[in-house]
Amino acid sequence: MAVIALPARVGPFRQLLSTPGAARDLATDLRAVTTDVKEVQAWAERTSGGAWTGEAEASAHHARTRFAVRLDAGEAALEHAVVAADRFEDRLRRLQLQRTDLETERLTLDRDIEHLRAVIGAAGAGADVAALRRDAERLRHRAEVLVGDIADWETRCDEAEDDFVAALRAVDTLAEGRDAAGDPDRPEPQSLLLDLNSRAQDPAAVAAWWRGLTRAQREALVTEFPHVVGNTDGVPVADRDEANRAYLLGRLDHLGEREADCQLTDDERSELTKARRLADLLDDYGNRVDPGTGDNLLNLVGYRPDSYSGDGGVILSLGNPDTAEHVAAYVPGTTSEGGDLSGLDRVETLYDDMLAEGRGSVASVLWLDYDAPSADSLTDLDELGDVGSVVSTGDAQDGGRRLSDFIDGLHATDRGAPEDLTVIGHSYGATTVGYAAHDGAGLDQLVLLGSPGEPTATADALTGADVFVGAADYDPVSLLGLGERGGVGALGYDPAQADFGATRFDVDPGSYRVEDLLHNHTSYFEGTSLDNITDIATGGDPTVDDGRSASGDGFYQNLSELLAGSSTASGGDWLWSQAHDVAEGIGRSLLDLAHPHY
Amino acid sequence: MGVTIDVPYDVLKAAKAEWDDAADELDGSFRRLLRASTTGLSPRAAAAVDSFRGEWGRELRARGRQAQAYSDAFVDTGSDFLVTDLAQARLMRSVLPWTYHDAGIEGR
Repeated sequence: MAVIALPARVGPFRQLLSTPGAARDLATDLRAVTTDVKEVQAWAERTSGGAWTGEAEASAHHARTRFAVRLDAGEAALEHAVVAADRFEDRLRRLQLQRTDLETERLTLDRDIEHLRAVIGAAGAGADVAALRRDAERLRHRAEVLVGDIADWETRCDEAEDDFVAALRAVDTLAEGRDAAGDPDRPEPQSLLLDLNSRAQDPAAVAAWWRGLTRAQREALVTEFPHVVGNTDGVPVADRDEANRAYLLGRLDHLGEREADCQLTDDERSELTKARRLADLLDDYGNRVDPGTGDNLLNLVGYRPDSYSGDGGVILSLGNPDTAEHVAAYVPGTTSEGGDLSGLDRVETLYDDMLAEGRGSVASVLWLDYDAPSADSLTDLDELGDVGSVVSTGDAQDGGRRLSDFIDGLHATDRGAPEDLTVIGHSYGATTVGYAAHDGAGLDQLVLLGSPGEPTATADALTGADVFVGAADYDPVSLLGLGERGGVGALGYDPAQADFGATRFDVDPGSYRVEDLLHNHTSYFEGTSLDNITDIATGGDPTVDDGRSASGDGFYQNLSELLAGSSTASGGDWLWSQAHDVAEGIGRSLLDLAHPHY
Repeated sequence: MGVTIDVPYDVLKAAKAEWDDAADELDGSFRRLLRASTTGLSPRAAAAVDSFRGEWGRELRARGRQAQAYSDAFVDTGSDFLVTDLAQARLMRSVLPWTYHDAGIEGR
């Protein structure tokens, strides 16, 4: 009887000794520490003499100068540690992906060996022994290659650990810190900042310049000027995230100390409250990773706590827009504030649904970097009929320009195949994205939800991108724009009109009761509407509805008719009369209508 | 006998506040460095981190205390700064911005 030797199964191999997430968390903390130390050191150095100006002898007795010099040693050591931790994280992440591939091959090989064993066991006298031996030889070769690859991988793991440990030990004494501070190759953040600022208006130039920096130069900029790096369009999303986290944690430390000393101002207290909320949110997502990249799932792409009269600006992304094939950016409307991150629920819902479509990697962005009206003036409607005096297009125009710059930045830092970008605006956010599109933002699809008005009368005049509109029949805000049957028009044209020329997709018409009208305005991320938004954002086709028109299939109730009719449906003449007042612009709020006991 | 230092009151007041802020900032840094997690790192990597933060944690704490001591050196009486002796005057002068490094000190 012929003997066919099968290779031994390749046994399990070790896990990573250190995880990328642990290295990332360490790097994040070290960046925050470095940022704080740099701030103090820079303050001391600015007002020092001698060592920095050449008057060394005189400054030897100047305590502030000595303090600055001494702190510089710690700063230099921390810079090295940040770079070491950041590099360690990158290497571990690659090693983790490699391990996944090796483990897949190991399990596949094991199955193939067992399969061949079964085939051989079942073979009769007439079996093709030569063919079976060739199969066994191929498996043996695969096993040898795999064993070698695993050994190489383990060596690389050891090297990554060795390098990280060596890098930290090279700067873990005061003397070594001083040497690091005096290193002529130490990056100079001030001159790097000048270089960055000279390109700041051109995201493509920023991106190209950034790619040419060393890791140490990038980290020097990130830790010295996190607020700048974190909000500069053209800096890659992952680096913006690192910078903004460093800034956020640094502010938490600083404001926390001031709180403990009972020194907080009202503005600082407000910032601290919002910063803690944001930090908690980042913690909540701490263990979740992007299935496409293995990186952390939630990115803090923009953070301006002091902008917009203290409301603050925030940009968050689930997934990395730089690497994702399909990117959706959502701009909320009037209730948006930096401290109000409830819009992330919608972004996460969209992210999950986009991912479930299975059409490639995805990212879903919450863009809150504009001065949206703090209260929802479109739906807290003393002002519904007189919306023009409450909400103007000014903030939408400013926000649109800023959003357009942000989109330019995303294109500049995009890697791999060009991303498919869908920008979605809701309520006042729909007006804002309209201005961004009109400003020439490079987007592929524009989705307008419950829009109170757009800056142009037609989609073609608005943008070259495909324009989609979600407008529930019984959403009163979507009836504010100018159309064939009227409209307030303070914020522009109704994009749901048939002659606007956009694709109006199916959404639930909503409840025809006056107390539900506000809910109708905030229900686009549900049911049919959400399915259609997901289709649009992942390259699919939504189900389509007729555009609004004064006659035919697109006939619709205008705002006055909706308010009057839905009030009647809800309860009679008293409600009707109030609705009529609103429609006439006299100024009863929908909230009053919905809650007559007020 | 008292001592005066020839520096405007507002400069002294600002210096005290700035050193106090610096102390707060460094104290926050020290605390964050101290609590930086090593969970998920190998024992060898964690040991290297511990060694690093041991050294620099002590250093940041020392500098934070030094900054606080400098702030405390400025004894604000509400309308003036109390300078008790020559040594204290020299200390105050040496922790002011370099512009004032040779400000006059006089006994009175």
